[in-house]
Amino acid sequence: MYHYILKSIQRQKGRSLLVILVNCILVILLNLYFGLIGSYQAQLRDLAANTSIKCIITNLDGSRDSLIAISSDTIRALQSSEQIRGLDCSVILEAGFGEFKMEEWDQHLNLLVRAVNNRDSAALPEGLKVQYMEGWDEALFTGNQHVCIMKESDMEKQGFAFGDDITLTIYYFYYDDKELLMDLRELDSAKFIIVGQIDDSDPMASQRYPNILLPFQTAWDLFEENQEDFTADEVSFYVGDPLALNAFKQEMREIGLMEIIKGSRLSFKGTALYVQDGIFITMADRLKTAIRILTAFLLPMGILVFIVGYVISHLLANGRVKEFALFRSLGVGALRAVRAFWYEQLILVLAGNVLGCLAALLLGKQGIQEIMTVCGASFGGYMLGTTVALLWLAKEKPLELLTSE
Amino acid sequence: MEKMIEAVNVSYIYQTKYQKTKALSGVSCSFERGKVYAVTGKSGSGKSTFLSLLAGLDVPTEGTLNIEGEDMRKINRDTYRLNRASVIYQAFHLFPLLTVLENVMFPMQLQHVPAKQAKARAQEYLKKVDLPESLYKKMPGMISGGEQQRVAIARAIASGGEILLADEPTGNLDSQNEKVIVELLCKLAHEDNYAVIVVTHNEAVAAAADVVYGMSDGVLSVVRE
Repeated sequence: MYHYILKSIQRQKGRSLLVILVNCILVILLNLYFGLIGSYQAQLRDLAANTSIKCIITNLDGSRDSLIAISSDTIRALQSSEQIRGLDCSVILEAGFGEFKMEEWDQHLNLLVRAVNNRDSAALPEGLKVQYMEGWDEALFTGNQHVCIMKESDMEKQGFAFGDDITLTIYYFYYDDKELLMDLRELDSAKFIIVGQIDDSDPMASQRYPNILLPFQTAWDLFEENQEDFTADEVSFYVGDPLALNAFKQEMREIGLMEIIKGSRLSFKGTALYVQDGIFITMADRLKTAIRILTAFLLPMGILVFIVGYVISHLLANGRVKEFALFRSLGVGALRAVRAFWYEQLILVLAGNVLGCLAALLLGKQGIQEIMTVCGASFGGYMLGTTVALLWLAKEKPLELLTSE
Repeated sequence: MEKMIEAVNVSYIYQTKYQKTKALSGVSCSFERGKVYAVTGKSGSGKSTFLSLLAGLDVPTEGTLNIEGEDMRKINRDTYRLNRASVIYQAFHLFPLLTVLENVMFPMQLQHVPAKQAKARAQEYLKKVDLPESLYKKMPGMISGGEQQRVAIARAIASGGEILLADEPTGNLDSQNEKVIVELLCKLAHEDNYAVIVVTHNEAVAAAADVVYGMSDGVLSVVRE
């Protein structure tokens, strides 16, 4: 029988080529189809990885995102949240060198101090040179030590050097939300070691950043030591996993950060969250819709491959009914005869699949594993159709097809 | 002489979803080696149905068909056709994809006879049916009807069985080829001891047979013994 199968393949070139070609095309088309789904999924993953969704805490009507009071409870909740990354917190303070009385503030309170939890929160211009004392670097902002970084010009004016202990009397902004007033109140006098200096040789740029930078937690500790309510006045961060935006928003609501309500009463309280997710949502929605539509065709595609296998095998079998009857007449059992035709199709389908895989590899859209999986699916669907079509042959009565009556 | 095939009160009913048709009714007869039997009758008389039962392509609805004493129902009918009985058809029915030689080798390949041996034996059978060697490598479509029927006979005897069943073997042939095929079938029966059963309505074929049965509306009768 195997001899006959090979001869049949060899001598029925047109029929054999048709089956090979159809299967080759099926594998290529299915690879393109799955490749398209894979490409959209990769784009979605890349979009999530490459798109940072920034979130800024604002007041309820969204009009202020700095110099507002963001409660320490909110900051603590954000610090322990797994839904966010890149938390930037800062608080603006005023200070003067040395210790002085409250009445003398107008003579001494001349330093803008910013307490930050990382260098990015300080909003220092890109490329600005910050020189650190040996053994120190920008990791200092994440700690709570009494250290500071000072503008170079201030250091020169005061005759300070790295490692000097300085005393600062610090004032903070108190936000009266009822009266909508901002008041400056004394916090404490504290000592700090100078561990870095900011190059402020460009006078235009130097106006944009403070005289002194402190670690955020150090400032927070000072508030707690003096039993004052600590509030940050600028907090921003990024969504941890943009693909889990709903879970993120749910957690933010639980933390107490609401959506901005335009037209609400002006307030200094940082209780709303502005999420810059518009572009991401639009793009992700488009990709998800495309993936959903394509995936919905998965079952119809499988059925289509089955039907192609069935129809082609059925048509080919129709033309070979007498051949089948002759097999039976010569003593070949019905299933053995069907199996011979099935093996013939198997060889041709495999050949078509190999060619299809090679073509898909040359197109280079998919990896070998994906191509093999698609090829397997195509092979399975087609051969299932072939099996059903050929089993129909087994019902044929041979003599009715071969005799003269 | 030993009975090769014996039909005892054989009936056959074609049953479709809507109707039943009695194709054979109480057929009793026997066939021996070394003789040519002709079953004659009009189209639709049940000749081919009888042939299909003799070939083991179906079993009687009633009655028994014994092959050398064994009930056809109890034997493997595929093996029976593979090794003991071969059918020759009016339309020759050679494999169009195989050459003349490969067609004759085919039954032996089914019996797992080694290729070299099968080839030698196929050549021997083709010589026996007087087919010129120049035709061995030709495809069936390239040779005449008479030659094709001789190849079909060579293929039938290649299986090694002793029962040759022929369904209108000369139906598609001219009188000259008809004569050759009839002589060949007679030679196989008389010289090589085959039991040759020919279904025909050709009088010349019937005249050459040793025994002639007539079939009418599914009922078999002896015409000449």
